[in-house]
Amino acid sequence: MKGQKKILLLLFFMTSGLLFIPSITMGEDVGNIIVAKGVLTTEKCLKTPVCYLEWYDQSSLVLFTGKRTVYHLEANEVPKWKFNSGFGKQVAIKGVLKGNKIMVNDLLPLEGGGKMSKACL
Amino acid sequence: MSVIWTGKGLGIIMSRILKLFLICILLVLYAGCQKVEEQKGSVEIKILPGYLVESEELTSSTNSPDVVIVDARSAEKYQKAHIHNAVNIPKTVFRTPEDLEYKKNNGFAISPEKAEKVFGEAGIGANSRVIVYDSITFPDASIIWTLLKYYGHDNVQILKGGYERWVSDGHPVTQETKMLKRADFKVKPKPEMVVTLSWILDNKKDITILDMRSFAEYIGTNTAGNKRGGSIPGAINIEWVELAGDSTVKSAEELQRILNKYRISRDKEIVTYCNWGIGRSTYGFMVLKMLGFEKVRVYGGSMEDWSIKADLPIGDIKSIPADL
Repeated sequence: MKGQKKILLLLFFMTSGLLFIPSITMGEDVGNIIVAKGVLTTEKCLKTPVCYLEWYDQSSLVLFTGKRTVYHLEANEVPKWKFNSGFGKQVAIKGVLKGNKIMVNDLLPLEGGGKMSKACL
Repeated sequence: MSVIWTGKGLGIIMSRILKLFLICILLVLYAGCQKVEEQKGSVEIKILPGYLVESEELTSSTNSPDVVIVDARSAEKYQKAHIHNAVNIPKTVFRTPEDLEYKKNNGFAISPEKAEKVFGEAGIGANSRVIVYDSITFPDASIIWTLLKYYGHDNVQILKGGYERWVSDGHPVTQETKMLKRADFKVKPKPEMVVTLSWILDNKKDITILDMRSFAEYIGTNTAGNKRGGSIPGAINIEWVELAGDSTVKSAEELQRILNKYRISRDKEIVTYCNWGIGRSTYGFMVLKMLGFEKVRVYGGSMEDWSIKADLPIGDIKSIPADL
């Protein structure tokens, strides 16, 4: 009886494992290449009426679009200075969209993008 | 009716079930791997032999009478120092008022007469093996490479790593100018390598258009002297340096990753463009050819041509939607 239980448990775990295998073997979802524009800011800045420079944290950067959608950004192959120069401004972004995250490939601050405070509105 | 499983019988059944599960796992793994291969593109990407020349190989060829070494850098850089026996053909040679007029009427770079003159004077004949180099921060060697191919001279290669690698590898350079011996360069044009505006308009639904310029030029914040800033709607922006990195061209693995990212398939017709139709566009063309892409062409008119047609749509910062 004990052996029977062990085998049944083993089968259970194998079945569960089997369910996860396709997600591993199918490979990472490559996402869609997109070009987007919006304000480059951080999650924290979005939630408050003011935004301080010390809140600038590359790990929580977001793109806030004209339709008030928030996309989380991940620096893919973009040097840090590009993010720094675009922070708090209207930017154009080229990248790969996966869910609500954009893996950024290039970023360009746009003229007339406003100051940091605008990014927090 | 009840079935009584004895220990031995149960063991046999369980072992069969286990075997079945193992087979299932293997099948799922196999199917998954196949799917990954499909996503990557069914053909493995590699840089084909015969496109690039290592500096060691060039060392033994600098004095060979059949080898013509072309320095595609600017005249100033050439005069400062160049590889022994190299002749200088900078890109400005192909941007005279006559060339612009020819391009306006014919859709691509230079006339056959000009090609015969420039390449003949450089000593390139039917039997010449041409090795081109430039500075790795410019795509200029691809201009010579593509123009020679376009005019029927296939024996042309690129020096891997360009002038910078040559120097850093400790190879000698000189300021001496080669005494040129004129050769008879006969053109045999390959018009299929180049497309015109009307061809793009007729085929745009079925082709992949690659904009090899910078992101700023692509979205039109930098007009680069064009009548209108922006890009051909639907074009994919792969700035040429993404493929070059800090060398002549990135490794096959890196190129595969980049082309997968942009979903570039070799099954579809690909057209590259930049501003002039030579330079960054020919670089993209050359790299895809190196990777064995057969259906690649250059839009000879490029943005200079597209942007002056006011009735044509243009993709720019204003056309980026407010949300994805």
